[in-house]
Amino acid sequence: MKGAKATIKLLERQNVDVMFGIPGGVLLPFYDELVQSDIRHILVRHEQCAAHMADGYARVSKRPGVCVATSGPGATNLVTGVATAFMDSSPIVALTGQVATGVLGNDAFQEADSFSLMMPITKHNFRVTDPKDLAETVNKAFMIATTGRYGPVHIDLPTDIFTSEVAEADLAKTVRVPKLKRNLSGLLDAIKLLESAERPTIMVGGGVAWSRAGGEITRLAEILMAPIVTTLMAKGSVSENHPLVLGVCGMHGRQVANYALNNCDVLLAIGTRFSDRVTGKLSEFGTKTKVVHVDIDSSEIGKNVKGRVGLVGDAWTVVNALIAGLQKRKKKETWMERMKTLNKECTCDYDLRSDPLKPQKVVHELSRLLPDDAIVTTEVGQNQMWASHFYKCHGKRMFITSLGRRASSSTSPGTAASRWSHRSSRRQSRVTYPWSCACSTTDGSAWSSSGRSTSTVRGTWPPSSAARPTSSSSPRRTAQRRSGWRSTRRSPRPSRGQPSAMCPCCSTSSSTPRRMCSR
Amino acid sequence: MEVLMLLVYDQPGVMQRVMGEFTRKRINVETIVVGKCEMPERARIVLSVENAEKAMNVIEHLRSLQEVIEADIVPADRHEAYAILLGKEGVCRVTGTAEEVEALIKKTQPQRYIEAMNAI
Repeated sequence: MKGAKATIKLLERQNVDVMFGIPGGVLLPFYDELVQSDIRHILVRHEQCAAHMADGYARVSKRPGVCVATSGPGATNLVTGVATAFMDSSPIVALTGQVATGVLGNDAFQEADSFSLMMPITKHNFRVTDPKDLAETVNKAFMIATTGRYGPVHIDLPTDIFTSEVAEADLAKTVRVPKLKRNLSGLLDAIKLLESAERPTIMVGGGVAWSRAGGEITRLAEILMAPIVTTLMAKGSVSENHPLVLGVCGMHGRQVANYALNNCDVLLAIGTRFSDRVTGKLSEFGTKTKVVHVDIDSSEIGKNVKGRVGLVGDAWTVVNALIAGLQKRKKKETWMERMKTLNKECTCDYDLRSDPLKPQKVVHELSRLLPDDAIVTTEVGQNQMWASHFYKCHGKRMFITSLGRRASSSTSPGTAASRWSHRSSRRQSRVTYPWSCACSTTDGSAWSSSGRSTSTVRGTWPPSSAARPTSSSSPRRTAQRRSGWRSTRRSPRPSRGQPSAMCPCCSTSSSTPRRMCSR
Repeated sequence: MEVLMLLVYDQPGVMQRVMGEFTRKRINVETIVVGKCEMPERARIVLSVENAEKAMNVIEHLRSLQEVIEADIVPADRHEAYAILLGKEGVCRVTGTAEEVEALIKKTQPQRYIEAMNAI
């Protein structure tokens, strides 16, 4: 069997039903075989979009997304999307074509050292230089992407691998799944700390979304009587209807969530890497707080916030172990009641009736009207912050956002991919509930991803559900305002009459808020 | 001086991946020794860095690499320094503790020399 056909067979064995990409010279043998396959190929207009779509697919379906790009320019275009998946720990398998092994390193036509380019932005990457290694490499790539801390894996495939013979015996090679690394030696210390805590707070990160431990964490919060704050990556992983869930914390987070984070005596951080967007100045973060840090990746423990109790393991397992150890804890309700009160007070009302329509109102209406299984995607910008504040994630709702790398233009492809993955999972599980997708994006990002709409339309579904509150405003401007910077340029539509009040919680100015955040 | 010892798969790109972790963490590697070991298709890498803080900073990241089988910080009593010195009398090879080798280099003032840390 030729290498190209073998690659397709291997992808099929991994249950790949859809892949995103653009063909190119070195990929022609691969694409010739792909036509014969059941795998659906979504043709995009830019490789970055293919990687974002694979990322979106993975986040919704919790299965690895696959994207493919040609050598040289195709591989370099793929980089932003793969880096985004890496920062947000999303399992994707990125395939790139490469010039033939005989001319590798000779600056051949469309050659780029994509193996080296991808190395720092992937969990692991491979270059297949022998057809014998093809099966093992593809199987390993899927295994690595979906074990431990998820992440993107890249495979560089020289074109002669596609055209050379692969023996059936080599194709049957499988890989051993390694035992998950776990270190719960600090569990007793963690339980003691949490038992004695007077003002415990639980901080939930993206790891919880991946391990789907939201329900267990809510149970733990009820046992501890502790409020839950989430990072932006974790929005939607715990139901925002629950009275103990205070919402998103950090630089652009809710005031009450930051209050809980800064005033707790014991912080239980689960599946978060203590990003600078959450901690601010690291030397000043949590100086008076005892931190229990739970993460699947041992290198995250003590990376940013040092000298803490560390528990290495997946969120679901560790949280269940903590529940077992803490069930008999005497409940102290004072802190929780205070948090509940503050949470009620810290509620912005943006049901504004203004002309022109305010983006906050659009998000507010989306939150009100979208069904319980809606998927909302955002990329970087003020729109992301509006969505994080005014869109309530509960039930089966999903919130997908590019966070670590904050790539603009990731929204539209993300939305498209979400629909694809949702469609395929629906086909498999025969779920028939209604669903819809919406994306929130800025005008700049909408333009930079405008070519993607073609992929959306080609996918035989109309992009009618995409809502685009456009704005020239951005978190950068918010940060500048906070530091006392004033723009010399007038805003496009200055407010008339009374000077505009700024909500300290979401930093959004408005002349007619019905009720402002009181904290 | 802190010494790290890694057992890795002996294949192209491993050194680039390992050194990439030091680059990201802005840690200068003082000495590097790489060689074949008792196991086929495996290699040992012995690296030395300036202090324990830097070693602790990078060790977990090295352990999370797919091509790294083991990564440990070597206790000081197992450190071994060696050097090749070129003086007026010719080439001289020296092994011993880091202090011994450095004392000899200081004393003999060779025209050229190279010193590295090793461990087993």
